[in-house]
Amino acid sequence: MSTVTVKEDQSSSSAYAELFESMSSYFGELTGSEFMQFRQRGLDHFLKSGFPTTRDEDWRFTSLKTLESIKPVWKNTEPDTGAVRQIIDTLPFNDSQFNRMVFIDGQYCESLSTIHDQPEGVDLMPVSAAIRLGLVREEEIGQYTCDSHSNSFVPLNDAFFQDGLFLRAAKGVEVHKPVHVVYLASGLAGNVQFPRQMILMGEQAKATIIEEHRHVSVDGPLFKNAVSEIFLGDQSHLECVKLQLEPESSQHFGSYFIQATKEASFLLHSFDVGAGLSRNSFKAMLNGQNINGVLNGLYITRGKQLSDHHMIVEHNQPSCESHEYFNGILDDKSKAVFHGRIHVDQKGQKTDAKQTNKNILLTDDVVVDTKPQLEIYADDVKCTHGATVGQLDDEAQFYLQARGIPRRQARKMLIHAFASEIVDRIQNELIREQVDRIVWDTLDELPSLK
Amino acid sequence: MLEIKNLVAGVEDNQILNGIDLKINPGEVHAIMGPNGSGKSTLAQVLAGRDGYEVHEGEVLFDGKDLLDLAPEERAGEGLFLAFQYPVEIPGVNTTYFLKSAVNAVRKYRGLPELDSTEFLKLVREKMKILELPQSFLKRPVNEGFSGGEKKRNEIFQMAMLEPKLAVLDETDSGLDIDALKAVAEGVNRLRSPDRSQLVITHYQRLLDYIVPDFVHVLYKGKIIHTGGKELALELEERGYDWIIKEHNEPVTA
Ligand SMILES: Nc1ncnc2c1ncn2[C@@H]1O[C@H](COP(=O)(O)OP(=O)(O)OP(=O)(O)O)[C@@H](O)[C@H]1O
Ligand SMILES: [Mg+2]
Repeated sequence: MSTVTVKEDQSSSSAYAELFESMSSYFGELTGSEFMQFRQRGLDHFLKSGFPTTRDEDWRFTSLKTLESIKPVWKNTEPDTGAVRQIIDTLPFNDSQFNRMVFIDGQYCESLSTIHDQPEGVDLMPVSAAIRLGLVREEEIGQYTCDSHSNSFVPLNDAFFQDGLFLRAAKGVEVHKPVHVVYLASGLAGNVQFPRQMILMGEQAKATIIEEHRHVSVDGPLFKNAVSEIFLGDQSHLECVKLQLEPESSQHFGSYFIQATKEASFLLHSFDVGAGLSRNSFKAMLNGQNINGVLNGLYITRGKQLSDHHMIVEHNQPSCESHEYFNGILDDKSKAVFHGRIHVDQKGQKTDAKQTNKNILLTDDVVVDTKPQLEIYADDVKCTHGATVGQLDDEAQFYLQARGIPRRQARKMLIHAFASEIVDRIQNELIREQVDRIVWDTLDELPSLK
Repeated sequence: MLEIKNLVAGVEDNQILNGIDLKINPGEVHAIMGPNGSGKSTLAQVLAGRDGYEVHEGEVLFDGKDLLDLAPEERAGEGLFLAFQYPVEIPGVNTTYFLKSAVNAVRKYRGLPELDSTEFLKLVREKMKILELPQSFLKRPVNEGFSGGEKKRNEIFQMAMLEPKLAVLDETDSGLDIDALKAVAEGVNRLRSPDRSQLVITHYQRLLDYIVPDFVHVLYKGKIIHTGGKELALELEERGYDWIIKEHNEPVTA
């Protein structure tokens, strides 16, 4: 038995070694020879560790069997911009109100993107361009993903990263209009994608970002492995909304790393409604005093979907606040995992950390694994966590029905109210309204509410 | 309008209603009084269709239709309204949105066209005036953080919006100050007409000064043990229930 497992691991790893070979000329064009060592280190690391297994404590509830069965394929082809434009035109965030950056199968598509004039001190472009312009050097990439190596998806992305949002805002500037970044899968260039984002906020800089994951029309499995590195300078402010709307054939992995310094504030929202399997990890390192961070998320699952959020918040300095709010709505035979670790360093006095995870189960066949984990090494801290798993409030449902509202509609109203707890925390009004609409549409599709 | 025949009902193996007979004709106001725990709210909830109550025997006809066969929302559509003894707080559901959904669902059920926003708001304003509710109610989530009295007023406001044929008021008067009591009574009385009826559950004669009943029933241990006119309420206020219970336990026919 055990020899078979080892063999499987090896074969899936060696498929990535082959893939690396076949992509190396593409990498050369994309990021030049300078990054080849960085890529090679990532590959070596990945080949040694392979994908995690359920024996790994951090992956206990999330099996990667399906992912391992995907044979990664890459073809260097031009994207079909015609088909993509049709989709882009229907997207709710229009390019007069937003900067728009479109990536198709991981590659930047300039003809579909719109970047508005920016104030002095804002660099907004794809990562590949930033590298070509010398704005990102080899030693700068990966500097915020430190000690992430329990998560082999990061070295895998180091090896294969393609492109993604690059945003750098200098001291005191505010990025003009929110940035809408769309990562579209068309399947034409193969079944793997490795987006890489870098967001570097100078002192007192401000920005709003919406990151959307969609597909054109893809049959067959997809593997997306995205990494985002975020640096928040003193008193900077960032709001970032991630919207994951991939098809059920997709296996979605996203790793966010946030390093924040003194008095920075951020809101990160994760709306996770697509993909057969999605694993969203967020690691926030609060490395200055008085940082305020909100991690806010909603997952809606059906069929056999599995949505996994893996959160780590590190309070490394005094007087920081972090709030995590995650709500889940589960239908059919779907599953959700929520793992929230709060680590308070000895220096983290006067920490105020709060974590809640609430789940509504629409059938008896769904499974939620929720696991809070507090590691506190300071004595003067306020840390609370709570998790609930339950059905809809039937008293409330009866009240609505008694007023003439049909059962199905009553249930939808209550579930929408539950989802709104999360949606309402989006500060940008335009984004909030559109996300709300997407949530309604998603609820309309839930079998239990039909 | 409403005809309850030998209604026996309860929760799991706990029987609460032990054979209720009650007939309410169009235009009539009936009051139900009775000690705590006698089954008044249970009766109201069974009429409205609350899950979890099992009906073991008997039937309930509403305008000739088998009421117990209908879903709660269908009962509301048919014109039954229950003002809850404990109105439910629904965080995240905005009051305006809730009311509009309710009014239009009921209109749809009754084969009437749905109201657009302007028509709806006009109706809201008209009805709010009667109950002296502040506009700010509409923006808040349903009942959330409302005071006890505000919740009760909100029940009557909803009743005014839905214009039911039969309104069942479960202790709508308890916890109200005197002005609120008058406003609530005004709301109910505006609805009175030869083809509408009310069933008023209360512990106090005071409400019945404003909403004058045609009949007063005493519910005790899940049975109506005595029925009288409006003067019975006064008598109960003075003498309590003991004398009726005693009479009931030692029937005069013995
Ligand atoms: N869901 C339930 N589960 C168990 N017991 C119940 C339930 N609902 C009602 N009962 C019991 O049935 C009896 C009647 O309750 P009900 O609320 O109908 O009384 P009531 O006449 O309205 O009292 P009050 O005047 O205090 O409002 C009580 O003993 C109560 O505890
Ligand atoms: Mg009661």
